[in-house]
Amino acid sequence: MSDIIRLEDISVAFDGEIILDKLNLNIRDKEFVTLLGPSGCGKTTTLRIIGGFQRQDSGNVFFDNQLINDIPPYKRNVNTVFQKYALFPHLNVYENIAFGLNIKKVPKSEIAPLVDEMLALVNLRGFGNRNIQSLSGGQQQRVAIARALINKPHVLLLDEPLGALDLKLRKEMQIELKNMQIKTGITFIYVTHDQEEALTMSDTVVVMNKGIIQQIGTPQDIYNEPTNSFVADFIGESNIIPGTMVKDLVVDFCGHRFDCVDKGFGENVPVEIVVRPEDVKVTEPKDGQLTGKVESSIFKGVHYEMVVEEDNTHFKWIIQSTQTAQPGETIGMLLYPSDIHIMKGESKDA
Amino acid sequence: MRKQVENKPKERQVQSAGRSAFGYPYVVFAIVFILAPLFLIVFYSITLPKSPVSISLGEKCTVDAIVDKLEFIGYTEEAFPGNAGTYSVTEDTVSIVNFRENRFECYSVRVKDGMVYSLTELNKDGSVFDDTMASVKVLNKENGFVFTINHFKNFFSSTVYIEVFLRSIYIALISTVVCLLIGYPTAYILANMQSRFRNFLSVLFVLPMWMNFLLRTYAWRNLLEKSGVLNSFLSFLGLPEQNLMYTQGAVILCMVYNFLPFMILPIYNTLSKLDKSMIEASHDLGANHYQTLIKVVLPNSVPGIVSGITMTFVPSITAFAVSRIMGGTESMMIGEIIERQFKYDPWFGSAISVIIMILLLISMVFLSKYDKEETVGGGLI
Amino acid sequence: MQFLYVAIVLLPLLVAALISFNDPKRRSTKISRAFYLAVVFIFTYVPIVVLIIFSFNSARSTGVWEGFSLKWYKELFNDSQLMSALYTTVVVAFISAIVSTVFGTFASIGIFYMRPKIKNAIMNITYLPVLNADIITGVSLVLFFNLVSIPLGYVTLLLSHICFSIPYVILSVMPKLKQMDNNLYEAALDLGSTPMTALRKVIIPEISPGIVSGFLLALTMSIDDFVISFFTAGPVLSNLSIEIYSATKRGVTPEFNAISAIMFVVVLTILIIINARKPKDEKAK
Repeated sequence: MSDIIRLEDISVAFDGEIILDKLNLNIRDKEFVTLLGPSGCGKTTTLRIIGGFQRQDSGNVFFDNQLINDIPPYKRNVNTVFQKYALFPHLNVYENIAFGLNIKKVPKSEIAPLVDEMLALVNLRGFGNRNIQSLSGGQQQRVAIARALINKPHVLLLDEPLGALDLKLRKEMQIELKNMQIKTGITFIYVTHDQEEALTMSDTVVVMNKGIIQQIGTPQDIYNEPTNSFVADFIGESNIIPGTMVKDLVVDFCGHRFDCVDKGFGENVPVEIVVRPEDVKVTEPKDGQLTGKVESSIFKGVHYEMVVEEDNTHFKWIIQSTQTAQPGETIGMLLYPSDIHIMKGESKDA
Repeated sequence: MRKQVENKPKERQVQSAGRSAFGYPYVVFAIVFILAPLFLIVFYSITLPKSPVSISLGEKCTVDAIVDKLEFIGYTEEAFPGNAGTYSVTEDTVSIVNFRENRFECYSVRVKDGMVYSLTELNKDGSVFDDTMASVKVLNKENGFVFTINHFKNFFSSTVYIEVFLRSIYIALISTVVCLLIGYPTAYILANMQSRFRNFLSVLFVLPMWMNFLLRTYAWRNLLEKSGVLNSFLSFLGLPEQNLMYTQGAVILCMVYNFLPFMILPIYNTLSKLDKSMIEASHDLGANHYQTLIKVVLPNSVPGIVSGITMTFVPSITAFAVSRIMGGTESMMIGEIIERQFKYDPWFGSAISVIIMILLLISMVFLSKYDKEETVGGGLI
Repeated sequence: MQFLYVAIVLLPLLVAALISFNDPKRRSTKISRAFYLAVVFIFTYVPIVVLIIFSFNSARSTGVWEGFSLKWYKELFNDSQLMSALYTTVVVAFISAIVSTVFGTFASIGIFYMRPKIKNAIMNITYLPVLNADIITGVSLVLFFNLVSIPLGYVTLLLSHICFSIPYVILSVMPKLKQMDNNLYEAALDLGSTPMTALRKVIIPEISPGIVSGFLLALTMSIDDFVISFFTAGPVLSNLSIEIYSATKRGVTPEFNAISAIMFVVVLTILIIINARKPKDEKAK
């Protein structure tokens, strides 16, 4: 699939602070792409530049291989779902959704069935006459989505649209959005700081921090093979342990030599090891590669989450397991080689 | 869970009751100083008091009209010289024995061609006591009042008053429209400014509001009058002098000048609080700046517009300082009439005021259809 | 014919206004906006600037310049009638503003906690003087004072200024009360404070922007007022507005220009002081 949007060396600074620094990003057509990162990482700015609401200081934006730097938002084949919905309070649901079509002077007779189709798509059949103020957050959100999609844009931008919804509704909407994207074939560019959300919905995840892209990949890549400690730390819970790469397929940490599946780091090179809490197996102390004393164990429904202080290095491991042990007990910890992920050693950003 | 929820509202009410006591003095105040005066003015507008009747030389009236007035204040017909509080009539003369307790006071009023042409005070025997008076005051024998709609009748049957009334509405409308046309773009530009000076600049535009209203009016008279600054400037340039004062245009110009800040401020407040993402959404959906202005910005700036119109139209109708200072007899406005009439005849003055009040009420009802939130005064703040 | 002149003069303004609504990034828009603002600004300030300039006129005329002089300022300070009128304006303004602000603030708090139906009724009554034309308020107050036999003078002037200012204070404070977090008061009580203390330390600080703007509004309305003062001040007492009104009928001297100049400078100074403080608040946000 071709790249529908290309950002080339985009730089933006505001009030002396650098927001984006020579950002390069390609968005593939018909994909669900998520820009993921903490607040202030530049993901929203990137989205607004694509939408045309903000102008980059330098760099180029290409849409379908055409330079669109100077094209205002009302001429771009892009629609946006805003974070706070930005619905028009003086218009009802029908008029909000039909707004874009009215601007394009689509005849009223054609608009009506299209609006009905959209209302059905977002599960708001019959809401056409309703007042915006009378809708709940979730309903307003869906009107915002319908209002954008009805214009059949090539690309849909979504700026943290589910942030204001409660957990259950959010999870439902995530699934609905994903299905909509598949059904309509529209490229979705989604911005969020919630890594679970990103992993759930995306085809491609772009992890950003401080205006710089940290990693681009599928959810599985990002989760299982983080390329640096930021990504490892940001995505899911992880244990990030300093250690030494002895040689290919062998790594040393917490005073034990482990078999692993990574190579190419060199010999006796300091590295950082990432192990997901759910990948640590709880065993009898004599059966474990490592042993440690249980500091706390909290029942989380799906699993127990334990903090275990490893005996050798006193590193505090986070372990998620369906097994549990009492605080004060000593347990054994067992790791499979494929669960040990190696990253280049680098100091963690403060 | 349910029980807890039920308890809370009651608790709130108990605590609130304490705090709401702060409002009771104000309720008394409002009734005394806001409602009572308004009732009074309505009362005066529909009553006619039995008060002393003045008859002046040159006043237009007929013998019958004088008799009606006398009967209204309790006088009866009796052959001359009657008791106090009586009158006697001939074809062109009315002789009135004034209702004085201790002495005999009798006036003779002669009417010719529908006009009072002679006023004399007579002795008991009919001889002339004094014929130099310009007006006489006949004291009322009865007290009290009657309900009447005469004041309103008098107002609406006078072409002069109707003309003034309509003219006031006309001038107020034009001033309001001009203020809106000039003020809206000003507020829009100010609200969309990015720079740090935006606040300071917008207050600069509104600053004249804090200078006395009369001073602002005086400033324009200063500029426009015959020996004023504009003409000095023009003659300095060798251009002909202009005679702009005492016209309707001068009045409108001064009104617009005075009320422009009152139009700009609420619109500016409303526009600056407008959700920027709504505008972006409009652009996102394909509307250019003008389409966005008409379809999104204008409908959402209505509260500010309504507030501005209220603060302009209402005072414009009754402003009499401006029309007195800037306008002439051709541009007399209803405020001047109320002022003049009220001194001598508060009943008639009240009636005119009530007519204006009804007019304002109608305008308010009309405007409140567009003002869904309570922003009429709040838009200003 | 006059309309034609007016139209020709206003045409560029109209065009500028229309262009100003366009894309703010375009040059034409920026120029139009600057032009439009400049014209309105000039319109707003030319009369005032002219007034101030002529306050320094050495001749008696307010229209023909003859030379620089400060004599009108001296005349102003020596004119006891005008000075006492000015004094009356300022004193009445401050007293009525303070009284209305205090009374109005407590009234707002009280009304805010009343039951909805009564609250609505009272708020509607409160709106009446605001919406009513000032001449009607003035006339009705005179009738009222007459009825209760209060002679027209200082007391009635003060009372009527308080009367029309309080609604404005209430209209300033109420929105702040509505925006206030309900839980703050209860939190204070929960932490052991008495209702009065909670009022002082929690509610009032929260609504203080409304109180301040209400005070300023009351002050403005009072200084600006003409019509109500005209009716309720009585035959003897005069304030600034009444003085100017009488003067424009009998004959005006540049003393009034001097007053305008002084007023303008005072207001401008207050403005600059307020604005010099504001940026601190905004940065804190």
